[in-house]
Amino acid sequence: MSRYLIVTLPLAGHVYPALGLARELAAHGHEVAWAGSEMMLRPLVGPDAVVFPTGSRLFREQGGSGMAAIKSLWVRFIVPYGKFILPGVAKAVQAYEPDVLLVDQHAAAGALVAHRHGLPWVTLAVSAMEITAPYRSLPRITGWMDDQLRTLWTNAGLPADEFVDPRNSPYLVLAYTTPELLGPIELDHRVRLVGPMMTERPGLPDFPDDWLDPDRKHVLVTMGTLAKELATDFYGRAIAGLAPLAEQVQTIVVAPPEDLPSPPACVMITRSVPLLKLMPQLDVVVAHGGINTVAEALSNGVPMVIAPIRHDQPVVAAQVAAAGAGLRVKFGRVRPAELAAAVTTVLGDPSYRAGAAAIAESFRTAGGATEAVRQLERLQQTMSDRTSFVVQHSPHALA
Amino acid sequence: MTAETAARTTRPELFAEIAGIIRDVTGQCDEWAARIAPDSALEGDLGLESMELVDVGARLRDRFGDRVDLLAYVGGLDIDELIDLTVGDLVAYVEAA
Repeated sequence: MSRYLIVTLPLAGHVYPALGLARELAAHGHEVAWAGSEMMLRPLVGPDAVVFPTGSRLFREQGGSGMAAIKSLWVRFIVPYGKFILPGVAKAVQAYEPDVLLVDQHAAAGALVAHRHGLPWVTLAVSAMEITAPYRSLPRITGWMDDQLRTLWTNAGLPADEFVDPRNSPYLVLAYTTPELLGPIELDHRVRLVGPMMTERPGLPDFPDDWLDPDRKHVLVTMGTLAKELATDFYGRAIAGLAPLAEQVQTIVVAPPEDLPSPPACVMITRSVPLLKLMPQLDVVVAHGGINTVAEALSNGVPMVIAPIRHDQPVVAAQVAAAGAGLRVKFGRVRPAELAAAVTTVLGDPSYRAGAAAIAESFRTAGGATEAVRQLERLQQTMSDRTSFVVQHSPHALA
Repeated sequence: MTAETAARTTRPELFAEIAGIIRDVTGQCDEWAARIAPDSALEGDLGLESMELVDVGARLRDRFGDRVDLLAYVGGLDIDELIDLTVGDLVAYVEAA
């Protein structure tokens, strides 16, 4: 039995995948606690989970796209969040005395605190952002990111010459993807591709299944919650494009109904859906390429049309397209007819469903949470073998 | 070099040609392309995605030869220069290459 402290981000897209791992660890008899914003975590992890609060602070909404969005992600979120939760994570480590910290790739504070306490820490590479190194051809950009992390490191009082990249644990990196989705890419030897870890999200309403006409195809459109106004414009275009296909297609749009008044009869606007439950009834998912939606769709063998907005989403969209599990369209510029054409292509060509099924199979083979726990237990075993070896062979032990 | 100086010193034909390449790569109409100006930011104003920038680079190399290596040029920019990169900057780069 080991004690794990999860240091995550205040984003549902990062908490849910960590929750899948936490539940599997508990099922194997391990203890798990969380460090993060209790206000954000509590509704997701449930009343019985141990949460060490790090304080809650509203970080400004991420804007823009491309490199401007990347800069905003770093200077408005990764760096200030790392600074902000550092004292809370340090307190959590002192109070909980974990054996290992499980640190989200962008929750740098977890790595810093683990290093300070000489504790092993494992990176949870939930998103595709870092593992694919999309900026490796831009050395000044990667250098700039490195500078941000080194400043965070030294500002936390850690010696500059001991710097370890908080995004990549020297012990183990658990990546929530598979070689089939990732494509041909060279990975560090510490990276283990365990596939996504899905878990039913609590508190979601039932879906009115009787609305679904078994003689028509079902398309779900969901663009996440982080780019609200831009998404509403996209939904408008999606509805305009898909409404003329009413005889063949019913569309479910996940959005606040008041934002999209008077939809046509073949379109349902609903604030939230039980995605995992609904997935077997869907034929195509149109999404922005958020990690959870992609994992949930592909694990059910549902092909996708991805309109990436920012951050790692263009990378994910390119991966899905390369795997033959869907198509990529341009979020900002796609016209209604183009979007309808992409949906029709994916609906009409069985190769996309086969591509998605192949990814689903790769997820099953990768093992998900079960394999992640196996890797963590192996790391613990290696560490304790090493410790007992050192103890047995050190002069102090002989004395 | 700023976009303004690029616009002043650049042959208008070169600007028009590069604007045409951007139109083709993005699959936009002529009306959209007509609004491209030397100080249009590739990312912020035209919404050019990184993969499209790679396409623009390939087409520039096809058209102007190996001396034009857009990715090497972009690789030398810092994050703010990259965010603010304009059509005029591309024109100036091609002209100077």
